[in-house]
Amino acid sequence: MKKVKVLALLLALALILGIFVSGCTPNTEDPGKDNGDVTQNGDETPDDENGDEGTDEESDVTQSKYYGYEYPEGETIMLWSQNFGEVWVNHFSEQVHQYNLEGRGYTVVEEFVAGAAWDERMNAARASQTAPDAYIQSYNHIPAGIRNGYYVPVDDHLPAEVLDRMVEKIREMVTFDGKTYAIPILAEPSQVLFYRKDILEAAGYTEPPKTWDELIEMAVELKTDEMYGIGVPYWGGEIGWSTWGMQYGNVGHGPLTDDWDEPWIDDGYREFLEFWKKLYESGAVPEQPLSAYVDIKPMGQGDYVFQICGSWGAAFLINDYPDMWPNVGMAVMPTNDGNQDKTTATIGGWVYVLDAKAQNTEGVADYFTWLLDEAHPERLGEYYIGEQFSKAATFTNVAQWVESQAPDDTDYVAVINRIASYGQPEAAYPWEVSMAIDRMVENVAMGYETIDKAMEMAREEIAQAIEDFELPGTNPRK
Amino acid sequence: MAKKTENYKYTSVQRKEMIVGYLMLLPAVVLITIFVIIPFIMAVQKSFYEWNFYKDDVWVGIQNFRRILRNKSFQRAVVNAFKFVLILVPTQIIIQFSFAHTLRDLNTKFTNMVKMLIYIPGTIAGIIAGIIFMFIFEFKGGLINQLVVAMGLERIAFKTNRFWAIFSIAVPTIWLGLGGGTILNFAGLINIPTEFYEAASIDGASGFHKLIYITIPQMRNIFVLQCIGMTTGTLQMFEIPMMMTGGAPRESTLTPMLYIYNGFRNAGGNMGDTISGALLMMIIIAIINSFVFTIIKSEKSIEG
Amino acid sequence: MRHKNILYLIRRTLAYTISTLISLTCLFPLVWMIFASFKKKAEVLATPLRILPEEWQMGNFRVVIQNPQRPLLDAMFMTFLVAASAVVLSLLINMMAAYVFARMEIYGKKLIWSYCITTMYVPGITILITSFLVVHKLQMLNTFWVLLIPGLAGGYAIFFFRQFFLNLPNSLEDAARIDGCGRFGIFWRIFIPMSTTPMVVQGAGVFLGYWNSFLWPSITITNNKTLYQIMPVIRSMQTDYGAEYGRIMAATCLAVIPPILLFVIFQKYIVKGVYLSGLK
Repeated sequence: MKKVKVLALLLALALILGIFVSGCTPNTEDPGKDNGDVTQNGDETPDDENGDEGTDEESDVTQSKYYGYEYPEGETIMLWSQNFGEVWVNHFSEQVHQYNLEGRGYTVVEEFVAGAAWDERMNAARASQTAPDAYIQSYNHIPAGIRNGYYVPVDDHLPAEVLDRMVEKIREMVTFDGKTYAIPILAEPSQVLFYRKDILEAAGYTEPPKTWDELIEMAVELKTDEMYGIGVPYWGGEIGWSTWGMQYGNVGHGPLTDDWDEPWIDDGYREFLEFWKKLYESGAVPEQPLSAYVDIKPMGQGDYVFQICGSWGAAFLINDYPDMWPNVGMAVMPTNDGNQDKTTATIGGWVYVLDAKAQNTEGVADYFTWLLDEAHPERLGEYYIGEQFSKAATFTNVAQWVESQAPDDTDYVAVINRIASYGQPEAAYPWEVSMAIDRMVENVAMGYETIDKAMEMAREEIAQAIEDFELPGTNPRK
Repeated sequence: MAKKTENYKYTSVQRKEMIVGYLMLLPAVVLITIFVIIPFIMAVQKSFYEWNFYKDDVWVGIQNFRRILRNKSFQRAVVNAFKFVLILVPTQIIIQFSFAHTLRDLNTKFTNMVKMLIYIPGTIAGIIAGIIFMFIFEFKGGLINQLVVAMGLERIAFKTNRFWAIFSIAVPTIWLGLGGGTILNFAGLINIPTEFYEAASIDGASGFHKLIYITIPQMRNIFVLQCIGMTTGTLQMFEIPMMMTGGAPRESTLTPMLYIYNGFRNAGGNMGDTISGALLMMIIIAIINSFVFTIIKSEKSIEG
Repeated sequence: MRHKNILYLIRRTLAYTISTLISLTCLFPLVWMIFASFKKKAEVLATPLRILPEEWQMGNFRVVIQNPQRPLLDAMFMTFLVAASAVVLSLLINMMAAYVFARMEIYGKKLIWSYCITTMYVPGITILITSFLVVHKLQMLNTFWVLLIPGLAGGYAIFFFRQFFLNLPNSLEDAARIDGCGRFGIFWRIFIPMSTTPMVVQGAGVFLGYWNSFLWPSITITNNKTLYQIMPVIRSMQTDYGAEYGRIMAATCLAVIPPILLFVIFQKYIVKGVYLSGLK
């Protein structure tokens, strides 16, 4: 019996080895092909391997090369912003450093919080009354923040001279009931079409698509086994916010009546939904997007013919995928009727707000007054250069300075400006309303419900939100 | 001893001892009071208010509960939680039991080694398991999909397809729990007296009969114990769904705890809603627990 | 008989093979993580698939260790400090209480027992927000204490030790009494030394709970870099590094070392402990 037991162990060992050997052999055949693929991706050619690694390391260290630096004495001002990437972090840590060196009686400490941790940290800080003196928010957060009493208007604290330099359209976006509630840092269209110039040209197309139908047709024609047609925003939130502009321009209105007393899901939305249905039915889009909406990495790696993304995608492509960038074009997001002189995107972006319970509003005001000094447009302006002019400046003098720095051959900047000129402010209604649209699109695109049923469900959900949030008559933009 | 307490008469030595006893209880009782009982009472109280952190609380009575109860997302989340219980609890118990049963007669050194290896994932945080499996289930470059494509099949959209979304949550959950559960089952199997089997062998019972008539009935207590633990655990699933799907698709993997967590993160929201949802969930879990405990107790009393 | 032997051989061979394969499959995600941590960013999710890194490079580890925004090693050290202190204190506090509940007669014991034990039914997330308000009132936010203290006492741990103490023979106290030991003396000199196994089991559980906790530290430590805990740091790195998968994997590799090490060292006790908690 004992012999049998030992034999069993040995046999098992042999079997396992056998499985491994047979499982591993085919793998050894394709390292050559593998290399080719990696090089094609454009960011790991053997030559720049070491260089790449070196710069990565350096940039991580520069993130806070001033951490622990000794500044002239001053009251501490806390600022929080999200970590929007290296350009953002480097630029603003540098500005804070310069400001602190001047010793104006305040020492600014800016924290760059990771996006995933932002919401809970912010809410926890609010709950404990330890919110920073000023922090970053997106434009669409402002109405809810005002409703909840989170902010103080900035016009009581910043000199009018500074605020009056704000680009007029932007100022409207941060003004509610006659008061300015934020210091806008950047503005950017949240929906732009990125496309592969080289692939379109090779197929004989001289122009990017203008209508939804053309977009789908071209994507279906040009996609290959290795490459998907279009990268689109996904449900679960992304469609909720990224298609605001798409709805305003193509449907002609948002999901609520102007008085916010009733849902407004009419036949305009039917066409919008049919577009989404067709996207998925035609196979123009992968079943599941390859990245988050804000992330243009798949385009950079050559995984899409088209990708819908915000204008910030340009900066990422230029900075992170310089080999791919020359092949990428930017265009206005196609529309239902091919008319591109209408809203196709909302203007999104980030602003600083002053916390209602801030310890040191005067200090914050001093920092921003310094940052926005009329004589020094470069203090904010250099940020836009770092972002490859893909974001619009929010103060007129800064905008002029940035424009004077822009190289001549930046076609994509013209595209961004064109989209921005038709751009509308982001939705001011509660997020639940946008989520109802998001779910409606998912229901139709995935074939869970018919278009009629999905529209009916969205109407019900929005009506519920109107009741829950007591919305009638509260539209701040009316 | 019990009689003495009824008499309320204690000698001086006993009184002195009692003071020592109270002192020994003090730290635990104080900590529990401050960090569990008081927050709990506050939660009950706050659930009747509409509040956020910067404005004064407004009394709204049971408005928050009414709102949360008819909230479609919360309803879905609760239904999902039970769906996960129905899927995950039996699957896990069956896997763990079968594996333990396979290990049962093998060489001790070998089983010790196996037990150690399979327990290692159990020490890993949900967050980290989530990150690792996110990469493994990634749509384009993930390991699973590369294998699927190599076999000539269509890529699996783990976040879009309801079945695969649940699958992508189930796998890490099973992975994390396999070690502990198998060891527990193994211990139970070892503890079944061998005479039972010997007697059955003499009667000519087959292996299958032994399994049905001896092993499984003998393991009942362990199964019940696992059931309770896994049910409460599954109802409170949070980190893995958050990392793997975030509730997608169509909120079919949204769990109550994830819903509550999102409520806490949502800056525009009313915290009262969130807290009343959390309280409702607690009530559900407590009902299930007491239900299961009553079953066990009644069974034990039948035995005893 | 021969026929039976062959069947037995096949069954056993299969059993060995299957259990080895399952164990290896269990380890596979971890092994994959280790390999990925040495890869360059494009390699991690590269098509076609490769399991082993093309070149074993330490760059990822260097970067995550040197990142001054999220000091990984400092966070690991601080988490270790919190978790280790928690193990000691929580064992002491809960065992003292359990001892009283198991072995002593005091007035109101039943009432206090139910008071402590019902807390087992309160899920953490139910009281998350209000616990936060409490620690804020106590001015504990962004201190070491907010990480350590709130999780120390717990109904389950008390229940667990009480079960263990109930099963110890009554003669223990009698013998000690003759030597003139007080109640605390008995607990300290006799019961603690006898409880090695449950202590290791419960201690390991506490350590893991603290090491792996995510939600609580991420909301209570918001502006004190020196107190950052490991899981929130890892989660933040996940968004900080975006596409830098290799770096994320390097960070997770480092973060799983202490719990795995702990398990390997105390393996025997922990396995025994699983029996203990299962078979009372």
